[in-house]
Amino acid sequence: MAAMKKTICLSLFCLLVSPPVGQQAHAGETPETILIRQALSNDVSGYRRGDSELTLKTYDERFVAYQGHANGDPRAWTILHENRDALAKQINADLETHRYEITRTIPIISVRTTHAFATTIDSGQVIDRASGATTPVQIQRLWTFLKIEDQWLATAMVSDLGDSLLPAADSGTHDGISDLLQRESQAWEGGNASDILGLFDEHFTGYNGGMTFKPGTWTIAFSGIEEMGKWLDKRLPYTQYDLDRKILHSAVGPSGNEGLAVTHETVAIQHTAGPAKHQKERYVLWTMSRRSGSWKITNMLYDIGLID
Amino acid sequence: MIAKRLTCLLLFSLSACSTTEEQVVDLLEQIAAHPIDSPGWQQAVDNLATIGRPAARQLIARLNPGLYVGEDYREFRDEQEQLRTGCAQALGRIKPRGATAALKDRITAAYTENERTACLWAIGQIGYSQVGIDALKVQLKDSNPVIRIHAAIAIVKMDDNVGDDEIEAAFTDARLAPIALQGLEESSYFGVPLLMRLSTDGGPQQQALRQIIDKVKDQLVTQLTAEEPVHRQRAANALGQIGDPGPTQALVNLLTDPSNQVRFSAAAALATLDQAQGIDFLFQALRNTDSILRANAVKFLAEVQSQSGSVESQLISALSAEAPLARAGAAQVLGQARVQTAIASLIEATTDKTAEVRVNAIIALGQIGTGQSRARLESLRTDDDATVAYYAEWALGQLGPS
Repeated sequence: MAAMKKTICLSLFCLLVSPPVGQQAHAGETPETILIRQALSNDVSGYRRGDSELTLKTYDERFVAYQGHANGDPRAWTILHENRDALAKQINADLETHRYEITRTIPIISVRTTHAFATTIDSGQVIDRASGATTPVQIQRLWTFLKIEDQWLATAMVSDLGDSLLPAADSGTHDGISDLLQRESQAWEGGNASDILGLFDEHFTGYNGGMTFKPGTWTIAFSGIEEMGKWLDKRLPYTQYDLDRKILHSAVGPSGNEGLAVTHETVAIQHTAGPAKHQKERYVLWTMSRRSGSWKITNMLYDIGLID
Repeated sequence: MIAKRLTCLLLFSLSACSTTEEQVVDLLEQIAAHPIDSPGWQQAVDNLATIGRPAARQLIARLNPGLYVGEDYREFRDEQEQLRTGCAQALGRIKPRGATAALKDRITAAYTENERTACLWAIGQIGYSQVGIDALKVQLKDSNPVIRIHAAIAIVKMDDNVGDDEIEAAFTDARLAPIALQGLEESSYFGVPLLMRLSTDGGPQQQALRQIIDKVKDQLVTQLTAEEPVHRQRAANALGQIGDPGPTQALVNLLTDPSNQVRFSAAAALATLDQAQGIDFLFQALRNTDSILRANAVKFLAEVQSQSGSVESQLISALSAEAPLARAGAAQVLGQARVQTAIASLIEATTDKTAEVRVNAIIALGQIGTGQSRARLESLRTDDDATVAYYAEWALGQLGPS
């Protein structure tokens, strides 16, 4: 009798902990990655069911969408939607005219405290509701997430992310972006932490690209300005920074409130405690926003691997 | 001496105004601010080693590349290299056993040669652990000979000889030979068997090897007064292997050591050096009524005899000693050391009036395995003593068919 009770209890436990039918268990899964996976599933489920409300649950108010143009090189990227409302309009229009028979795989989810990024690959077909014409779909996306009150919300997405570095068209220089990045560079040389931090959005994410353009090797180095501030408090008393920055590409959105840029720079430090000097050249991808009035950096990816 | 005083003064002044954690942070910044192996870098490593175990946790953390994000972010790979190499060197001197797991993850090809060699060195200094030696053995197959020689040296420090061929080969390479010599010098008693073999087989670097042996000998004499009995014991053993009579008095002093193993090791070393005090000690123990002391005497006398042959005549004479325990013990040693010249005396001992002596003589004859004893062993198969008869049968089995 006791053995039978034990068996029933174990069976119930297994039923409770096993993932729902249709969902896969993933190695290295954590509660945070499960929640992010759920958010990404809601998005694609909304498309499949024609339910824009479900899809939009995934997105934060400050969401920005970038167009990758099938290029891994962000010098080709432009801004697609500057906020969640603009995205919502596009989704509603898409769902009105098309049905989506797509499935989503999620190759990468990387989490650091309250910030995360992920990649997805959507495949299947899109069907024109009027004509019934089908278009095959195979699209890779890069997502950034922020955890707000126990909920992971997408803050940015690069649509049609490329697997290789393709040529990029020349872009003009935007004064606001150029000014922001030059002030950031000068703030480092000035060595004042608050001058540096004042140019960043409170919830910005700092990444280390590991000298590649593929997100699989990226890591999150800073989750917000509080963490970066702690680093600067440790770092600046011992080092003097020298930065030589050149803006290679910049783009702003239709309303001029969101921007992105790619810089090439030589960064060097001189230690105060000794003679060692460290120097390197790096490419940096920046995204910025002026929704709060002035331009603030929202994402910064150091050491992205790009070919000249 | 002046440098030491300055170090103490610096540490004192630091401790007067900051916590240990803050001192470690300052020293780590000093490491980051000086090129590897520069005086400033080395000074910081020395000071971290002086702080010792309280610094270990922070040093172990700096080995991990995953640390260099957030508030510990360092964007320059060469700065991380300076820190990781310095932390590994300091850990190798502090020797916290828990560091091996973190160190062994940094000896792979994903790290720089400086980082790898510092971590290999530190693993060796910390000493034996299964996880450590398994990781070192993998590095013996590395394509970089510098990594292989450092791995081999670390393995020697763990009292394993699987890397000896790599070390031997290093003596023919001008770049690797100094690494091998320095490693063997640092290996203390663990390196002595290989040092002695290399110094007597006529290979290259003979003069340098002899100089290293002299240095190791001085270290070992110092270790004879170490606090840990295991160091005193191993130092005594190694001095016996070196075979220089210089430290005789220091070894004699250990014959009254509180540790059994230290006393016997010292006695064995003295006996190997053909010193009467050691030989007498072991033969006295051979006739002691304490079975543990007797077992030790047999073990150490067998080692001495195998290594130097210096107690052969005494052992054969002891087969006629008055005390039956001495006769039985001598037979055991002669068998274990396979002393061919003792066969006639052992055959004679099979007629001993004490069955225990007869049994041990028979076993010794079986171990030596000569046909010369066959006839006598055949006759003992029907000995009145069942144990004697049993071992006669066993010994004949060892001789094989006639």
